[in-house]
Amino acid sequence: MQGVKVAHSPSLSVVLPFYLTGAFFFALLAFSLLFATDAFSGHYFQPKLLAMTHLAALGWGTMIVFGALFQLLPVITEVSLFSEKLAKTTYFLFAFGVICLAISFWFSMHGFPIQLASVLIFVSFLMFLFNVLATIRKTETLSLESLFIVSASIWLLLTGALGAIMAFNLSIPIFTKSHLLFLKIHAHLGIIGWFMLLIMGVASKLIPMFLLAHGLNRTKLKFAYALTNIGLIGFSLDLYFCESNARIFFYALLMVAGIIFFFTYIFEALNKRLRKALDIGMKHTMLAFILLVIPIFISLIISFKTPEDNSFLLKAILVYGITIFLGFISSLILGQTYKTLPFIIWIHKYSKQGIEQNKVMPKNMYFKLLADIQLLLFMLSVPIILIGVMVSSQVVMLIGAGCLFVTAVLYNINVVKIISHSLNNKKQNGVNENT
Amino acid sequence: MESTKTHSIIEYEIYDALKAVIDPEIGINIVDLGLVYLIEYNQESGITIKVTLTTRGCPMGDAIMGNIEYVINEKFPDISLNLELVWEPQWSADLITPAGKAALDMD
Repeated sequence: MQGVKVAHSPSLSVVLPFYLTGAFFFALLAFSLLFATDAFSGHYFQPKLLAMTHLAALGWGTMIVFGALFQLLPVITEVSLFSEKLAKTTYFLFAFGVICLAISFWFSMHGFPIQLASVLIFVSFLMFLFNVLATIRKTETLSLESLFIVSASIWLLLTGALGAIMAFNLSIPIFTKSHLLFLKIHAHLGIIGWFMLLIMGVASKLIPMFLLAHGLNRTKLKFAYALTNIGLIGFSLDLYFCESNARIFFYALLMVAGIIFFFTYIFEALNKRLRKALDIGMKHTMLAFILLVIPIFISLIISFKTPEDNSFLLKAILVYGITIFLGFISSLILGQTYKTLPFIIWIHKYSKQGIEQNKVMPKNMYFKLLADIQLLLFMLSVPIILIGVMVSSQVVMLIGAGCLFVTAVLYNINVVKIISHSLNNKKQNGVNENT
Repeated sequence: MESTKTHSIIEYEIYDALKAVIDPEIGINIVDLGLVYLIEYNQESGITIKVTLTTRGCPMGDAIMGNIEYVINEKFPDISLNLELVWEPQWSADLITPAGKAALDMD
């Protein structure tokens, strides 16, 4: 046999810790929300909100994305990951950094703990970027997907760098300008530069593949890449040098236009798909894109107005953050976990068993009923939390947080269930494990 | 499988054996998906199989190729296998068999 190596999956020990820890942090995030409903009644710059935002963005979102990328990057680029050891070191530094950061924010420990956390996280981002660049360097040509991933990873490093400086600024004055100004830049470097660009790059590869959609117009992705990056660069530089001004709205429009180009690409994939039925993973994914419409509208409103003195706009900012982190990113990750994790385990455990492999298919590796309930509860939790914030009702928020916590518990059960296949004896794994 | 030549019994057996290889994401075997471009057998060079994937960089690529190797080696342990992954012609929905289209609810 010759030349049949097409993908270069890293070992399970590289990828699984990210998935397990990410799932745990999601449950911790939902649990902490149960005790922090009072945090949504005022300004967004306060300890519990900062702790939960970073748990969501780093512990949940970025943790799972790191794991998925270490698996997918070699597949997309068709070369092996540069260093598995570096990926494992990234995990330990990042996980410890996130724990320190969340505790530091929650208990307002603005000295050494938050400084240590920010440095650990920054170093882990640096290692991640190095691994990504060194892996992509082995390829002959830079694909559009790789360009998205590299750009997103650079934005992530800049987010981490600014975040670390901000962490030091809390106890050692560094900035001559408002801390909140840098918070806006930091947040958008992370949300647009890291998450949005990365999601565009990875989703533009995976979603057409999952839907069996071909012949798509990739020029849309080039426009999406250019507009989003130009908008973000303009937003960050102009905000830094000139602070709030009318041009911010223009940069927001550019970024929104970039996202719309990406949307049209996904919509085209949906229209041209051969697989008509959407499974649980794709339902969550489509829900994520629907939820993204809310912060897109809000971003245009808050970029047009100065929100600090207006209680309605302050609530709009909270809704903006919630729909991005608890809505869009969470829904996407909840869904894509079912589209990636079972396959990662399956490739390692069952892919060379001939006819035997057909007995344990990836879609049978988790409790389907629990996944369906998870989707339902998630669909309830986000609107309820948003209503709670808008009407300033802690009771309503608590109900939403409760739904989200149960969602997280069900998700964790399924993640553990899927991963347990990697530990089981090959022959004892169940067929018909759907409940 | 190319239909312009006469196939040996072994080639038909290979064709049937490959129906046991499932794309785990789609849940359809690679023959009905139209991923098998060529099956050839002769005594000198053994078995030659050319396959493609629905998308370049498919995460299931390794698994599919590994399974083809597994089922062929299991059924024909004494015959050498030359398994090639090709990208030309590019896979399209036209290559899906009627059974595959029915499984995908395309009809």
